[in-house]
Amino acid sequence: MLQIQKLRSHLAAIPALAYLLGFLVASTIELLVGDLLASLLGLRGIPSLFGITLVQQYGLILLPAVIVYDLTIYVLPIYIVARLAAPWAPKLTNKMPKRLSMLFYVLLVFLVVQLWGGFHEYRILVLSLMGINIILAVSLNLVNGYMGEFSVGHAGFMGVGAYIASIITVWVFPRSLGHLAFPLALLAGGAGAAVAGLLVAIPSFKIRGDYLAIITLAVNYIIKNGIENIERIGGSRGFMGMAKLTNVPWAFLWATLSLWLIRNFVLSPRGRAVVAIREDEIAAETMTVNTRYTKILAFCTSSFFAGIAGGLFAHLILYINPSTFSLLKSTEVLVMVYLGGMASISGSLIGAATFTFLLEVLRPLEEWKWVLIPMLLVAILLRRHAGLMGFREFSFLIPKEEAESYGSASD
Amino acid sequence: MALLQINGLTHYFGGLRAVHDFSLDLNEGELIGLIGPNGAGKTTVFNLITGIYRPTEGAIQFNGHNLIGLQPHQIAAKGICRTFQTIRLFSNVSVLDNVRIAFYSQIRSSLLETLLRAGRTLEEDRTFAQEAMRLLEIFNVGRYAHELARNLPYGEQRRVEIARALATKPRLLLLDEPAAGMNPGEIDHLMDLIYYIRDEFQLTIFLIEHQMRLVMRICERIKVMDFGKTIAEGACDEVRTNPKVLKAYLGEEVA
Repeated sequence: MLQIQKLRSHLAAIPALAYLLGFLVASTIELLVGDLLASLLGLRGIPSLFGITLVQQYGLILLPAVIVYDLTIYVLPIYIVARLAAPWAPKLTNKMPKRLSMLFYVLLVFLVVQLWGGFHEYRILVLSLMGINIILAVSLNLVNGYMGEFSVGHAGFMGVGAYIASIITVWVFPRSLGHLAFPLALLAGGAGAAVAGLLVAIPSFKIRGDYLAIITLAVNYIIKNGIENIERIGGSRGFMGMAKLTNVPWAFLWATLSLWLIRNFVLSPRGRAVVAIREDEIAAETMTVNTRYTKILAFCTSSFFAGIAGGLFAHLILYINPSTFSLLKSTEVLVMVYLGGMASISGSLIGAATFTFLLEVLRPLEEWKWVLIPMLLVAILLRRHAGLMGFREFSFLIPKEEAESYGSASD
Repeated sequence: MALLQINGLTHYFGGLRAVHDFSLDLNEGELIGLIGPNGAGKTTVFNLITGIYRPTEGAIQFNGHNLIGLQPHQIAAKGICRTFQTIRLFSNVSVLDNVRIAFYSQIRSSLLETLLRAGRTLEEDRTFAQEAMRLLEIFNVGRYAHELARNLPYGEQRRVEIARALATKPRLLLLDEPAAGMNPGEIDHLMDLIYYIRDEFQLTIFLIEHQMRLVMRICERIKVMDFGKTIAEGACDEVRTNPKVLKAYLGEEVA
């Protein structure tokens, strides 16, 4: 036990930036010699997700080869580079202004993600899904975590965005203009979802109390069944014909953008009003907060990003049908939010990434993963009832002048 | 003209008449007390003035504007702010942010600037933070700025609540039992504080209180309510000796 403790504190002492640099080197090594090493070890191609799926599929026979592969490609290079970089890496960003260092981190993470996953079909899929799920989780967290309302129909708004974006790229623009049309289509999908959100928000927030859960539940069904009955867009057979426009850079860009914009919002005076509503609506109203407007604003913002995520999803999977956006999908987003932690941007990031990874890694278990994942969720919530990062943030997300407030909020 | 003018205010909860024909002229700079036994309808009057309830009948004018039908946040932005009988701070938010939230009506930056964290947003937020800190210092709770509000001792929470109310820049401050749960020493301190903020912020103050000590000493005028009706009104001494009041409220204490 003592050794493990020592190892943990030793590893924790190395700054995150050093690990990032380590991962960058590891990804480069894998790109260069991964195939060779894999065939030497008798593996069919490089293990896509660190070999976890391989071992589950083909049994423990592959375990030694997978361990050797992971050690030589990931663990050793990352550790060596991280140790070497640890003394000087922080100096790199400390001198930069906050905004610049944030941009630097984002670019570095993008580089790592692109090198590791951008040239590998299956990893592209997983990473894009991860980006989409991050958008869904962080946007739902705005309503459920920060505002303290309970929306359970996030997939409905995702569906609206997915259909609008797909219709635009397939029917409106010629295929050759796909790449140009894509951002516009996504924004249109987001706007459509925001309008749908507005239609839900206006009546729901007229009355005080917990009606939002029931209304969003109903709306999720209305959207799903509504689309099923519109034959023009395929009805229950679904809609296809989209070009594969979602890739790692797009997913990364949109995920980063939603994280950044929602972070800015919750750190702002308007965002604090959202939190005030969660804490005490009457007191908020008495302190001049226009609670109804604030609720509608937060809900529409949340739906907007769900719509963007839907558009990305449609152009990744290339086939959508109404049941893709059923209550099950909404539940998945709820799991990501609660796993990651309420009222936390970092939490949504971690929650969505962990959930997507688990979903893929546990794929060989088939339906049993739906027993295992909820059990994991229960286990995590029992140990830390606020989720992994509830009410806390990574320090790089918080501007200096707000750091003190978050310091105490994190206990 | 009076700053706050209430005429014939009546409010029913179902069949129960909580407030009956309540009238009041409150002049700029006055400090008036509202007393009465539990359930007399005092807090309901506050809830009617601040727009949390809509009165069944009656008129409320503030600074010449009609308040009936306005949302609570609109009334607050017009310059009427209040504290609550049971403290209603935003518990899981830092003390500083509790006060900063009250600057909502003073936000001037656009939504786009908010989302991009650019332009006026940062600047104005910095001003809010400074103003909030100044208020917290006045109430001697500056050292708790980064604590969660729920972790503060009771007396400090009361003071944070008044500081938060002042951040909305009110002209009229409604205090609902500000001395509840305080010991005599703390009450003395509170009285000084009420005098101080009245002069410093040029406030008109209307307060509900059970602590006779406080009401009799600081209020210039007192209204007494019982079962929703106003049973007496006037200077402290008149009210103290009014037989109706003695019967309804002070009876046992004086006898």
